[in-house]
Amino acid sequence: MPQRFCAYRRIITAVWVLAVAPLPAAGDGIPARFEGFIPSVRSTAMGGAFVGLGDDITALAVNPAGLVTSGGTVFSGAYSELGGELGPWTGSLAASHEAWGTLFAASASQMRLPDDTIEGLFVAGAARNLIEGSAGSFLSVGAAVRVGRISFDWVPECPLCSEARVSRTVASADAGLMLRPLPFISLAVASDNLFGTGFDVGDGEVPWDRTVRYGAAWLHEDRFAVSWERRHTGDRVTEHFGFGVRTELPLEIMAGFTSDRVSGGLRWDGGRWRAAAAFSQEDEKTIEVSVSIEVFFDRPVVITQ
Amino acid sequence: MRGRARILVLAFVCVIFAAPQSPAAPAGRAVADSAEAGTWQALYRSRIFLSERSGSFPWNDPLSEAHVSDRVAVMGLWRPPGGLELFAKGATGTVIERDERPREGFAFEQGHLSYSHADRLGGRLFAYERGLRGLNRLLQLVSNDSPIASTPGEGVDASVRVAGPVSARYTGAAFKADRDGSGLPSPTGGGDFFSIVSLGAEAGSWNAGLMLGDTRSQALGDAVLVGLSCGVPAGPARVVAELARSAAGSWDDLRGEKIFDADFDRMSAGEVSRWLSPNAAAAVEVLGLDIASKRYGRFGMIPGYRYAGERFADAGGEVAAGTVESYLTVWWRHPKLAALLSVNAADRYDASREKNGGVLSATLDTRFRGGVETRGTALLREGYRGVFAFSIIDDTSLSRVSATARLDDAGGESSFSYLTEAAVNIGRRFTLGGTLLLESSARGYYSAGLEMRGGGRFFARASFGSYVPVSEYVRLNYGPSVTAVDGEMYMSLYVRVSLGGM
Repeated sequence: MPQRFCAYRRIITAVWVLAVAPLPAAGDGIPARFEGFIPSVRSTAMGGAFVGLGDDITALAVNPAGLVTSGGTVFSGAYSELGGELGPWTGSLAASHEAWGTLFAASASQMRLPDDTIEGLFVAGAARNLIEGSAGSFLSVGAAVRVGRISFDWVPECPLCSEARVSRTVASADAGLMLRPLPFISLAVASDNLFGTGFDVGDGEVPWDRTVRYGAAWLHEDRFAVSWERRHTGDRVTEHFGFGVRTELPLEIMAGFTSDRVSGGLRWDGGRWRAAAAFSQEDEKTIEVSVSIEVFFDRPVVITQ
Repeated sequence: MRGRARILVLAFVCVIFAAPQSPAAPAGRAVADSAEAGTWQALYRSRIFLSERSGSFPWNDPLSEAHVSDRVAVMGLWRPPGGLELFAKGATGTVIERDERPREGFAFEQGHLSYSHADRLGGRLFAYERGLRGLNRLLQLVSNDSPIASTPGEGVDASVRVAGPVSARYTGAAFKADRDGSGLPSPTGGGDFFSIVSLGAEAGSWNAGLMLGDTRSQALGDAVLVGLSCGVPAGPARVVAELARSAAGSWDDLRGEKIFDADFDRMSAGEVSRWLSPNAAAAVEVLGLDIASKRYGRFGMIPGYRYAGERFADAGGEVAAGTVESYLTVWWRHPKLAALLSVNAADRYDASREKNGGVLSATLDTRFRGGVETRGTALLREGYRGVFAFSIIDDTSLSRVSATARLDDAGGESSFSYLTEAAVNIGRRFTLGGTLLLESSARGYYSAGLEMRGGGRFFARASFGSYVPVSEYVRLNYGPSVTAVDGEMYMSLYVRVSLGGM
């Protein structure tokens, strides 16, 4: 269907432009680290314990293999910001489509920091079930291309050099695997930014950490989910715990915990659309708030957890 | 019993009761009663508690010294035909509740002997029990809805209803003041005994009551108390009014023309309630003001007024804080949905701080299909942070989950608190649960536990976490401010085994 294909191409093109287009800004200094991310409200609500869960298009940025549970053709938008007008402010768009038994998805985000540093992230990938059991068990793999772009005002050390707006773009890759040996047990491992390259700026570098995640989830009667994730980001290791409960209403209550920080959220499932809101404690007296909406075009009748 | 031996006993008991039961011993089957009209129960409770307690007041916490605590309680109830009832309970070992001092050896703990005849005559001798109730409705001193004293006491409670509408009741109770010697004394303190005689009469929508009390207050010493109550119909509504006065000393100090010490000359433009004595309390409420419409649902309002003088002592000996409150509650029930909106506006005066302030609170309760309930609350008080809370509860046969979010708004320094409590049943025997608490945007806590039940006679709970959950749900939903929890890493194993038919 050429017309449909053209529509998707326009969407992807628009997403790409949104992610990487440089914006005018003013500020000082080289960012200490590239922290661009695709906001995932469900992951935020469940304390970041998301690698084994899926059921959300934002699995693309966490574990591409989890895309197989995302629900077919989906268009999604998300926004998150820190409370107290501190920033950063992050917005993202994502879309996915299933063809030839494979889930294809793309997502782009832009994060704007208070000093007008802008970090953009674009991820495009695919996932496919390698093995499918009759009762809902499966083994899926996924891979993605990850492109990061950072733009900031740089003041070189040489006294004669003038301030300049600097933009750098780096490409990398993601990979993930999800195994559900039984319909209620999920095991997963994933890594993003496999190449672990940073952004060269003069003689220095803005580091961009590789993140390796592995974890497990227990999905009880498709109503109750408990999830755990261990995350290695650079030399930091963090544990994440989360749970979610689906009520008789199309409402899911979620909560999570990591590093003495609590998070939580709600997700309303309206059939053709799904909306979610979440918060997480970033540090003392700072709360991050996230919202998202998903629109489904050919949602399967049975939604897996 | 040494700690190691206790742990072995606990483990043995857990294994025995957790094992699958044979058909000859079905779950929940009670042991045969010792007599047809009597039942008994033996209860063993034990807890191993390990914590990294910071210990603000460690001398008040018996568990900071004894991490293994257990007790055996034996109780019996004999209820022969004719209205007589005898209940006795004895216990040994260490009391588990934190607010009580550890006790060694078997001792009588609680009991009563009661008699009732055709709902017209009743009497009760009790020891170390609570639940003593009065006749009036609005004032805390003799409220029908709340116990006069929250601490267990001993005494006698007798009532008689004569010819239907007329009733009389006498309650005399004594308390062991400061029974465990721990804690700081409260600023006012309660008495160690009281006796109350109350008389009441009802006829249709009319009612009247008289209460005479005698108490010993730490603040006032010996004190006497007199109260009047009445309820009269006023068109479709009903007005309920109560008036009470206390006086230090004996009944000789409460004689004369002005028993209630009311003086309208004390009234002024800004102090309308001054006609009441500082030793008095009064309350008025109008009930039944509501209208119903098939299209718009049901509306109603409850106006009221309460006054408590700063030197008024209630029947338990507590001295009132000194407050004046005028309030109006307006409620609306949706015609079809299970939704109730309630708005309460009040004007309060606090005599202890000499501060006046308005209070506006609103609550919206809704109930959805499938056991989902929500509650939204807003509380606005003059001079305080605005409070907004929202909670949702999902209660099904599979799980019970509640989530509460609360915002204490103060411009740029708003604080956000969040609590999630979840429990999911895994089969019939096990329940996995946990709580997460974010306190005032700053501190996060967690706890998790596994519960196991066996045949209705055995219960065990293993839990751990960074705080001990107590009543955070109530505090976040109803508390005027978020109070800090005691953060402490802890592990706990609690076991309860019961035998008998009670």
